[in-house]
Amino acid sequence: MVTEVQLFTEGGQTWEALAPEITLLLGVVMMLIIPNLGDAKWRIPMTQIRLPVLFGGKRFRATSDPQLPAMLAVATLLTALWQAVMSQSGEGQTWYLTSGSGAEANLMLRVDAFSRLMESVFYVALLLISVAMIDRMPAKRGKSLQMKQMINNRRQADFYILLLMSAIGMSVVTMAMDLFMFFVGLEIASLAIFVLVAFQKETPEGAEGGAKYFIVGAISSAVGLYGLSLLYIWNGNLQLLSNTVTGQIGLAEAWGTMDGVGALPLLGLCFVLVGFAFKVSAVPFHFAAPDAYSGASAPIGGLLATVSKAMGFIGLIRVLAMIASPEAESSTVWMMGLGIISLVTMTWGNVAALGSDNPKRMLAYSSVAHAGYMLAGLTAYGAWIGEGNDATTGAGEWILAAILFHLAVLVAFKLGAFLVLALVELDGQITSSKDLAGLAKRDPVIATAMFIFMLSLAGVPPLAGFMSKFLLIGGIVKMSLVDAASGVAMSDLHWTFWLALAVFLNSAISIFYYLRIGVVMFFDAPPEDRRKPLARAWYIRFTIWACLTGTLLIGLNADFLIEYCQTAAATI
Amino acid sequence: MGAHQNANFRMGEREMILITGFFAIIAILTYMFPSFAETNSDGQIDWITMPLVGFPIIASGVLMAFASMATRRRKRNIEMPIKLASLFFSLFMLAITTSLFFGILESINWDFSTFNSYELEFSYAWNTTLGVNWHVGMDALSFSMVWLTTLLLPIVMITTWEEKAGWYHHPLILMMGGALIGVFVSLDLFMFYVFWELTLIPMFFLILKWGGSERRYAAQKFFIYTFTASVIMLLGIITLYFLNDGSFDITELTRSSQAASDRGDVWLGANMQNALFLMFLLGFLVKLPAVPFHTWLPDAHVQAPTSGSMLLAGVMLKMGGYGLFRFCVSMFPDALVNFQWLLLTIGLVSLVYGSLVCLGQKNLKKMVAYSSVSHMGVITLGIATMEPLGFTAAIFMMFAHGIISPMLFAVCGSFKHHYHTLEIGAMRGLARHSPFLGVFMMFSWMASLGLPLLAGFVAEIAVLIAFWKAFGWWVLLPGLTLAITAAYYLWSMQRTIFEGGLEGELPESLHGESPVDISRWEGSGMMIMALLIVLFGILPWIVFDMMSGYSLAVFTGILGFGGV
Amino acid sequence: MIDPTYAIGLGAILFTIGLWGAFTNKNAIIVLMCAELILNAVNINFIAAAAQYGDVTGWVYAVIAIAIAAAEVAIGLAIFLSLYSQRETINLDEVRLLKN
Repeated sequence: MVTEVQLFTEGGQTWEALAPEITLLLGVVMMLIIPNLGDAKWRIPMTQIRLPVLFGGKRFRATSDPQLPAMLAVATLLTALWQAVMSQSGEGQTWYLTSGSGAEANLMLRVDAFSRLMESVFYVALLLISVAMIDRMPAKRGKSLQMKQMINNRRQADFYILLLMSAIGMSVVTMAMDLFMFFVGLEIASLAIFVLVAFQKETPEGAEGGAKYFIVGAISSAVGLYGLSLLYIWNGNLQLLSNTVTGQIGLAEAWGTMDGVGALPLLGLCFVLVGFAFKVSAVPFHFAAPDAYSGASAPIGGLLATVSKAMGFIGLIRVLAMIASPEAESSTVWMMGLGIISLVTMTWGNVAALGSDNPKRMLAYSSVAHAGYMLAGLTAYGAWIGEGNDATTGAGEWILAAILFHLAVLVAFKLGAFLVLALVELDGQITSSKDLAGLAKRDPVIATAMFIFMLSLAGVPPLAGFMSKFLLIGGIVKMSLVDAASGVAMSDLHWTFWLALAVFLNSAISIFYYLRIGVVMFFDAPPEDRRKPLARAWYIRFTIWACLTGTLLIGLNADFLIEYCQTAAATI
Repeated sequence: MGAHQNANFRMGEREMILITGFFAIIAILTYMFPSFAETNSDGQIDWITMPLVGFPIIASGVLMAFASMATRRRKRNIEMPIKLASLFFSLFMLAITTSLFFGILESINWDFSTFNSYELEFSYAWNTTLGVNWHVGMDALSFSMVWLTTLLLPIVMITTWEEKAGWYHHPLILMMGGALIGVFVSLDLFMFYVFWELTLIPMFFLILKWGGSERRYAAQKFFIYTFTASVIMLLGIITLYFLNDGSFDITELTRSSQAASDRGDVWLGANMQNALFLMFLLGFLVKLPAVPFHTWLPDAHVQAPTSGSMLLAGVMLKMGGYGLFRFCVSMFPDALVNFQWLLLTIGLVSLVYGSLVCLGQKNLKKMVAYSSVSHMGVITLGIATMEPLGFTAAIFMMFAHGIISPMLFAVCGSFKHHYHTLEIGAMRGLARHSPFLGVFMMFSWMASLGLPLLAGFVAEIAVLIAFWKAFGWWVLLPGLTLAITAAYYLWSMQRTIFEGGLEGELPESLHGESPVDISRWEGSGMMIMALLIVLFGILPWIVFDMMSGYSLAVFTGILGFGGV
Repeated sequence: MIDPTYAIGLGAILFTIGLWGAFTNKNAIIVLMCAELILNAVNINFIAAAAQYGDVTGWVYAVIAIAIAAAEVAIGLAIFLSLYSQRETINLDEVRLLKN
């Protein structure tokens, strides 16, 4: 069912379409107010009458509870998740949200299966992170800092406000139909994430990782915005789709109908891609990623590796799949370039991960490699469109669904691995794989979970990581069998077939360093200062089990998620 | 007080995990398998899904989870129950397969095979969007491998009964068995690949936990080698999947291949079929292993514990041979004809190279490992003959080697265990110090060399006959290689076992301790294997007939030439 | 009215200066200023193009871009401040605790 709504005018419709975002916004407001409620009174001047204003002063016992912000955040995210999922149950609703009406309408947001799926993925990831952070926030961090100060819930409120703000930005990213709107969403989320990365400001690593990540992020998003302005100069608007009522020509149509490839749009698009490439940490914009991952606390590292990366990929899908899809053979060079970037990205990520001893950095490099795999999928998608009518039917949708599936299941095992690190990190920062040594002796269940996450990252069946790699390669292979009806010779295959082979060989390389973690955990003696059983930290354990269940169940039967991803991919 | 609280907390955690795990297993089971007691169109009961595959994997998982939660002291107490439970499960599986073989559970006559038709065939929907099914079934080929696996499991457990940390060791063997049987019974390519990779994980842990001093290197090399090869095979699987409109079904794929060759066409086109053949071949040759992809095997064998070596040599290598038959032969007949020279070359090179390198070895286990390489070369040769007898011989070789090589490794393991060395020259007069070990060593070596009346002989002579039929006097090359190696081999063994006068010569690694003979457990395991070797040497037709039926069915079904 | 081409040229020059400065300078504050220069180039482009097309949207974009730039500066300075309190330097070359 499709509904067209002018934003914030026609009564309930906007609220219904944007229910999760509004919930998040309310959550932020509550988070600002509730932890500050106290017994403050205001004396009416010249009198002795004191009126309770409830804001400030000595705070109530309930409102100064250190776990209150976390509970608020969890409740908010759960509500938003429920709203996002429910709006797509049954026959999916689609809303077109415009600013202005009639001849001045600009399509700003589109709420559909795709945006709801990605929103749900984001909310689930943030939910897991906020649950895990309940144990992490009052962590002892050096003796100089007073425990009392750490337990102070104002700081926790800051953290969860930022988390919810990033959720709002991400939601806008999933829905945006105007590139500028997209960038605004991206910036809201990024600015919150910059602070989250630097949140451990008491540690030298935290400040350093945050500063490096911020500088590279700020410059790349500025470059992206500059690209947007060039596209605006070129086209006069930044709409993705053309509008039949107003006669505005969207970027997609303008790109498709231009003669040859103009310098201005190409330059603009390249600059925009720089902004996204930083988010997905594709080579050559990957330098800040390992520093940020290892400087930030482990759950935030997980956020960078899953959610932040997914945002970048939504951008890439929007720009590459919707706007710059090549027409016929003229753009093969363009796709070839992307293919080479994907090849370099995955190989570099794996090779760098081989040489890294810090588990967090290793995960950062492995996430670079995963970005390479998904870029290979995007390349195949572009090539599929370029092949025009000869192409295998349904291969493009398959690839997009595979990318969405991969982004979704990353939340299970990548975030899970980071959460295990978060649990181990309660005994002190993790700086080398030695800190994981003997984990199996200290806590067999957690070690097994970590090992399963590692195998899943490497793509060993029957885990979720295998399913996602399988779907991705399947899509690429399906695309490359351009003329499958009659017998095919190997030489008839599209060149993207070799990208599939490259992905496989790369995942064979990657098994080296994933296994190394397993070996260290199971067969090394724990270091002197890490002999005791792991902290009980029930909340983190709970999230690890949730991730583990997800990894196993999706690996054993991914039916429902694949179907959901296919529905979502069809609406892009 | 603190310690007490801590203990309480750990108990609570354990209970919670147990309960969660239990419910998760129940949920998965009820979700994945509609009903165990369902019968298929032939009125057969599904003896495969749960009893042979699901049960051992789940049971071993539960047993290990149980063990991992016990404290060190309690582990000693639960060691015996866990080992007994594993042994019981494996005997249960053996009982099922044996009764299936003798037609007790279901009236199946394994000796008469039709190409691409399977007994106990069951199919449950697994992943409907991708068209993946839990599709199991057995023909004579897979049944002989399944029977071999179930035969070996209790033997391995008995032989290595006294292995340390038995609470993990025996369940791992059980899990290994389930995964291996899963490979052999899968009739769905996706499922096949899942089990193919699943076998790596228990073996990885077996080598890492109980292996020798270089075990890390060996385990990782083993994992990475076979993983790399199998991802290339996976690329082939995916390509095959899309070329056939999204079908993973092995029976269906084989049927369409058969239909194409009946029409006189080349299935999928000659070029594509060759490419797919090579992709699959690579995966199987690395697993087999054939020269030049064999380098992981000596490392893995030398470092693996006895049980790991026994399973690795006994069944895991056969996955390669099984895959060659199931895919390379049955699905890509035209490519098989095209690449007959390749198989022939690889087979001959593996045979000759394996035997020659074997002669130069100082390390007992390495020697056995290279003899495995040369025996696997015999399997490749059997396929390369393109004769029904050659196929039969290759399958019988898989079966016979599956009993003989575990015995070799059991002997090596006991030798290492009691004499703390594996060096061949370090010891003289074994028969005097450890008479039982000496006897078993001599016997297993003879079996490995192909002494008449023992199982290995039947396989080797059958391959040679088929080779003679196919290539004439070229048979002298493999024949003489086998004979010469045998002679040298016997001589070197004889030095270790009998020479050295009455007192013999004890290895330095013993540090003056008095040598001991094999334990009762080791002895009973070896005894059973020796009896089986003699049994299948004297009465090979017990399984030979069904393998022969299978080979003929393959020829009449798809290869369509050769004949008897 | 000024020809928008000049404005866009100015934007290009600002962008180049900003990008070049961001790559060559090691002082975090100067790098941040360079990022601001790029954002100013963005604003000039938006306004010039909006004037050219007679489209009010460009101006709205420019206003929002200014807001984003302001937020970015605030966050950046806060992060650099905490870095400075840890290391007593904001020279990016001297801050290299994190490595393999």
